[in-house]
Amino acid sequence: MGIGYVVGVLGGALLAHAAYATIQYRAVLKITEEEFSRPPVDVMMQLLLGLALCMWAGVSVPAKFVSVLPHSEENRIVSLPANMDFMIFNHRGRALPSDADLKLKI
Amino acid sequence: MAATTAISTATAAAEEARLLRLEEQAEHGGGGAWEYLSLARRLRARRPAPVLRLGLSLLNDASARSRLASEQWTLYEQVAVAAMDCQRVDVAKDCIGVLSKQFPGSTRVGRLEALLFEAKGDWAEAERAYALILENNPFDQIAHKRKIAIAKAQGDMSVAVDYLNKYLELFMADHDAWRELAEIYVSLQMYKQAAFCYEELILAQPTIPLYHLAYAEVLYTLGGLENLQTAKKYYASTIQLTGGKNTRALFGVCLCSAAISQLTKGRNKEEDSSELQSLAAEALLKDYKQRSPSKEALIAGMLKNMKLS
Amino acid sequence: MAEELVLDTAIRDWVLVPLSVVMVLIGVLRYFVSKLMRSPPSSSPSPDPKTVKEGQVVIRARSLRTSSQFIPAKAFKARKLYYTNGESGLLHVPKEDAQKAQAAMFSDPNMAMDMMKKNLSMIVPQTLTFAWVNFFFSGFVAAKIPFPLTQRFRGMLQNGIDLSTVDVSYVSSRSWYFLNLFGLRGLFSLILGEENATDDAQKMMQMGGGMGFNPAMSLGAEKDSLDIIQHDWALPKMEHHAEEVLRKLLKK
Repeated sequence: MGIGYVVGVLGGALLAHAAYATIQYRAVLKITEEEFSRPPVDVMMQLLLGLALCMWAGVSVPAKFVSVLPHSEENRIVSLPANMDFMIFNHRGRALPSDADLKLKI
Repeated sequence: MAATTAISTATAAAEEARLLRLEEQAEHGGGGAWEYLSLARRLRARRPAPVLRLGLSLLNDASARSRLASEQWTLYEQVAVAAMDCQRVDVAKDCIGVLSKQFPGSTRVGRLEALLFEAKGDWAEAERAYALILENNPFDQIAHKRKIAIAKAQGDMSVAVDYLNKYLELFMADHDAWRELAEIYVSLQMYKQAAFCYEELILAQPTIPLYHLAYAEVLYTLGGLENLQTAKKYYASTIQLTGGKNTRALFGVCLCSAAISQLTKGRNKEEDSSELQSLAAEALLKDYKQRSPSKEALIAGMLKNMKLS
Repeated sequence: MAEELVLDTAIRDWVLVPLSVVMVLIGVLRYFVSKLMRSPPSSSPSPDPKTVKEGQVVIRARSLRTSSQFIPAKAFKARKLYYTNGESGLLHVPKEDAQKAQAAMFSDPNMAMDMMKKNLSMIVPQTLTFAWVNFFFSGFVAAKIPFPLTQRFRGMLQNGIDLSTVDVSYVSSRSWYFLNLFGLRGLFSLILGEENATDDAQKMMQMGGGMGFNPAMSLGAEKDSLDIIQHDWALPKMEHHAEEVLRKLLKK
């Protein structure tokens, strides 16, 4: 959130403005009866800037990137999940009393 | 059936660290209890005491519970299992009571109730409950597995092995069951059979170093030149997959090469061309120097005995 | 946009709104009718142990095929034999069995009936409403979208009007019907609950692919591909990789 979010909104607004400017430009062209070949330069600039801002926001806002390399240290597999489907209850939990005041209040 | 087969993945280092960090934070009142519980559920970590404590604190807080909305039922289930694991049958009973009021006639709650019988040690009752579940759905994998677990809990390993083999005949792609069978075979010292199970596990998930390691250990225990050479290779692949961080694999390589050189004494073959064992010994020394300097001399002496450094 | 078309408010009152309301009501009606017609008990017919086993065998054989290089040659050979050994191999499918499965697929009256019911509940109301819309409301503009669109949308929005001079943002009544037909899914999932939405697009997809899975065939295919693979043990190379890893570790 925070700054990335603001940048994203800004980029979106810029894109919207570019669209609006293009519509205006085409309306003018219709009146002067010229052919539409390409949008004006300032619109192009807005588009590029808006694209860059939106991309930056889209990459930075949702969350941090997670490493996917199998050989990076954080992705090394260190343990297996407990085999919960086969768990049995014969263990020291039986001998170690747990807090008596842990209770589910209904 | 889809609901019963949870996907099992091994735990990566970053996630395990995150789990421990969250546990620390939540235990000291730093919040994040729900994240911790979700992560523990996803990683299928068996940490009953903190799960019970934190889960109950969430469940006893009406506002926290209403924030969880429909997720609270999963939490009830998780806490119930954790409570049974801590031998708090009373708490588990309360949780299951809430759940069965919410979902009358649900198989999932039925399984929990049967599990409660197990936690109390009431094997006959539990068997009956699972039989009932299996009558309705003969392909309930969890119920099948629990029956195996009951046999195991009673110490009846041969029956457990029988059940497991029968189960794997049908559900042969279930690697949790293969793993359980492998572990039981190892505990019964039936290493040939265990090796087969570990091969199956390696086939199913070839990127998990722990299976390579376990397979290597079984082969090393079996002994014999060929097995030792294979074991050394699997220790090597464990080293490769763990980036040399697994101490067991490093020791394994050293032990294997020592045993091999003892067996091939006199007729020294091409075996010595590899530097792996000396590198492993070096890595071991370095590791001990960093983490436990007081034991370094001990390791150095041991390695010298094996003629590795 | 020199001249704007002015739409009569009567069009809104007598075409746009009634059409939408009728579409929603028909969707709801169809949901309840299909619920009535669904054969009650067979919600999840307990699968036959043979199919379960075949599915599992295929998974296991596939993992053998894809990661065969990770187990020793002896273990691989034993497994290959276990799967593909003539008549007794796990992947063996008796000939008459394969044909039987095919025949069962088509002759199972329950299944055919189910399919027909599903189709009936989908196609009949659709044709009826389409005919109704065509009869009463065809050939005029019913709404205008508040933003300009490119020419490509003409086919989508102006179905039934063959004029190329009308601006694309005008929607013909028939197109409004189609938009409703495909666009109301979200609303249905709100009204009828998540999974109950009558999802036409998905149903059509299912009709195409529903008949696909045939265990006998996938068993045979798996057997063939197991037969041709060569075993190439990757572990001897691992020693060299491990050496490199350790060297790198020691240098640090």
